Amino acid sequence: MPFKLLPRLLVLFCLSLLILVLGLLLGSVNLPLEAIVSVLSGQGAPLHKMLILELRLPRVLAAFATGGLLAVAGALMQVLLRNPLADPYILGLSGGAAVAALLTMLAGLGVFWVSSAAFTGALLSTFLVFGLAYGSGQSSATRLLLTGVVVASGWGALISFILATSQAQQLPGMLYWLMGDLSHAPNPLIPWVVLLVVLCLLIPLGRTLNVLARGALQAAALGVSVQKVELLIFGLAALLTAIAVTLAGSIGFVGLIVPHLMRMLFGYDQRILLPASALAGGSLLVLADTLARIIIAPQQLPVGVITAMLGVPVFLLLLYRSNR
Amino acid sequence: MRLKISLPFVFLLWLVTNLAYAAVEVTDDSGQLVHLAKPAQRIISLSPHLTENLFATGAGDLIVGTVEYSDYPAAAKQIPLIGGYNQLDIEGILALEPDLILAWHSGNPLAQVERLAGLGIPVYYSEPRSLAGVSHELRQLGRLTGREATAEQAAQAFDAGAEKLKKRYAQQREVRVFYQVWEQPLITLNGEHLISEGLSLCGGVNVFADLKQLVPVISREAVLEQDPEVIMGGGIKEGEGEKDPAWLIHWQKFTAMQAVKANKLYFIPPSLVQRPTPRFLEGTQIMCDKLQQARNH
Amino acid sequence: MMQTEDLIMHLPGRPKLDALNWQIQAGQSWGILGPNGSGKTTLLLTLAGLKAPRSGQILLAGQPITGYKTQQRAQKLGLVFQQQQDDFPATVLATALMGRHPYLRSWQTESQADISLAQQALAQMELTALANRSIQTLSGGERQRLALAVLLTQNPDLLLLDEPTNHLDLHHQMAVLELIHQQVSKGKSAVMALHDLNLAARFCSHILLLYPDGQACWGEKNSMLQLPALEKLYHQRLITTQVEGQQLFFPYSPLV
Repeated sequence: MPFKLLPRLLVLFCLSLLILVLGLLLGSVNLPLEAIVSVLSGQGAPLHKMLILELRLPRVLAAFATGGLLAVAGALMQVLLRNPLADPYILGLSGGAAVAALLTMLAGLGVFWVSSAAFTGALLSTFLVFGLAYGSGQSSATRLLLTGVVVASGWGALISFILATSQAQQLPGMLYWLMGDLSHAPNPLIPWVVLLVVLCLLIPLGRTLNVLARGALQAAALGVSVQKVELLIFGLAALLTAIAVTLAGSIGFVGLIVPHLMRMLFGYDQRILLPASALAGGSLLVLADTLARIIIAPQQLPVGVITAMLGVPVFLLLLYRSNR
Repeated sequence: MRLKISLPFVFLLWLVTNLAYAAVEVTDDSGQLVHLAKPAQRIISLSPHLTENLFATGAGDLIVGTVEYSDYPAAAKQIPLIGGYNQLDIEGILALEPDLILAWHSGNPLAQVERLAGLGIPVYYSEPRSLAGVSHELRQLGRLTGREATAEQAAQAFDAGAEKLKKRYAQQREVRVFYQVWEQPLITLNGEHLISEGLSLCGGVNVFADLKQLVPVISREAVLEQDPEVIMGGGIKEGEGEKDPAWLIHWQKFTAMQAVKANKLYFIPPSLVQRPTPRFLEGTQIMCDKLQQARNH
Repeated sequence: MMQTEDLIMHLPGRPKLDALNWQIQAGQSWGILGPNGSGKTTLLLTLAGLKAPRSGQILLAGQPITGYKTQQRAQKLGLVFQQQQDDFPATVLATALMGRHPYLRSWQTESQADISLAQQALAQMELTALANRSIQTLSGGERQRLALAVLLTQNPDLLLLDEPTNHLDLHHQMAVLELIHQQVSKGKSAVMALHDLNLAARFCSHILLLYPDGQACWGEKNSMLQLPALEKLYHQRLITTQVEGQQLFFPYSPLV
């Protein structure tokens, strides 16, 4: 049944590769295609080598992984909450990560600590929301959503508090983190491995997710172990988001927009939707990050600004069209 | 007898009071005319650099309130605080009954400062962006506080110090410098910035002097492309010093850069260069020494 | 097919409930009658194993229903809800195919056989023309028929239906109930919550009455559909007549 969409997925895959190459080509220093070819074959000028191998390749890969993680996490959250407007941050995950990251910046600690704190904060927030929502035994998508939204606004208040009380020279770093910034993304190997492993895990689960989207009771009547599956996708979505936040701060809109766009192109079957979202999310973020690097080069914009600037009009257009 | 004594005394008294109560008119850095009926006696300083400059003009004793991080000279730490530079405690300021507010035009929240001005308290806006601006500010503060003589001395000492550095390094070879303000995001400064002017005193050339923004966020690859001879910068944290400057580590892997290859990465204590005050010359001296070190390397 | 032992539903705020010792045999179609709030839906959810009872237990094909894995249970019994959730734009065919979920392992995709089963079910519910439409564009009646098509694709032995004629026009009401009747005559069983006494009288072999005070009684249709019992059930005077051999009930209204 989902196989007839595979050619379309293949096109998306090729497009993603193309965008990856584009991300390697463009920057504040413009490189010819030959430069990339010669560097990748182990030759090339030292400057080109440094630019491509040390700067652009890790960054482009980190951007792709982040976008893919966020898009898949967004698609999962939308199924979990039975709400097409859910995004990976809706349950307060990015807020928890942000508070922890800003606190380490306030303490003047380095990049490693900021990343670790972000990851810890994200997981902490996940457990908090989960504990509050499921603690009493009974739970529903609405209860989970409400808990998450309230916890998220609590984090928001803490973020404002930290921003208001911190020193002037620390503010740019904090704001860039909050807007999402890939210039300091650590090694993208782990995120890639996690993304691929989780996708391999999710695709066989795709049919179950399709059924789950029809509601918890209907899914249970059709033989889905609802609680187990919900727990699993909650945990996976949280993990994916936590890793994405650790890589690049909180980048908005990818997790919301991409699953939507992919539903328009690929229909609703999660077995196709999830890999398509991963590819499209990755490509979108690489594209946005490339734009962030070149629009006012050599100056830089935070990538989150670009994703939102691309995301908002696209989303409104979608909404407008679906209302007609 | 009585008359003889009292006549010159009265004259003296008249002279003193007239001097003390002489009206002051000064144009501030925002172009506004600041009018004081008499030199200020109770001053609120809304920025650490203004506090420092007031002390330099010998008027530190007139400050009744200041903002957080006003930590130099040591006496400044004893002054009551009225909030942070970006978060003013309006009621606290009013309670101190100031007769002059020194505000930082690009740093303070203007709406809050304007409310204070609306309540009838004279406000002087400061925005020194150059070496000449620093000595100008010292002289202006002297006039506002009636401490012209000390202020003039301080201003002349500052100008002379700058001139001395300029002379000493005028004949030296130019060195292309990347000055890093902040590591994450990577922030530098353009040619209009005071630090850039300090660098040029030492014969240094800011590679990003032509950018439009005063303190722009830039991409690392732009720095690679420029391939500066020297990389300079303040640490992320005060007191981190040269022992473990975290910001240096991020450059170490770019071994093809000449600054990294020749190990010409230098730490400049941020507290010495980030404020437009007489201490800036100390920071400039350090920058000059480092550049000289780079030349002789 | 199914048996309940001292079953008391979990209905919060209703301390007095009769224990049910009830047997549903193959070839029977049960109608559950009762006023609003008497627990018809809760009873169906409890029978389906989706809601834990206050006490007692349910045996499905001789085994306690709690011992079944959800997937096995879904092969044995299916449930059509009063309302369907459709937050996402799946197609009608893809939704009907969900009925095959209990039979597939996670790595398996739907085979051609599964697809033809779903297409057959759509044809029986007169939905073939809508197969590629998004479920979000369907009317209330079309949604209800799609829910029944899912049940047909699922093809369980025991069909539980919560007001299956909800939203349906007269023609489709008959079509749906005739289809259920046909399934039952093939050896399956059906339990449906109904509001329409006349449909219950026409299509059910057995009736279970749920009184608002927690009392319950059940048995063959003819013994249960008696005026005094029904008037007590609904707190409503009724009149009855026979037309062409069919028993018909009407609420009596003195105003007319």
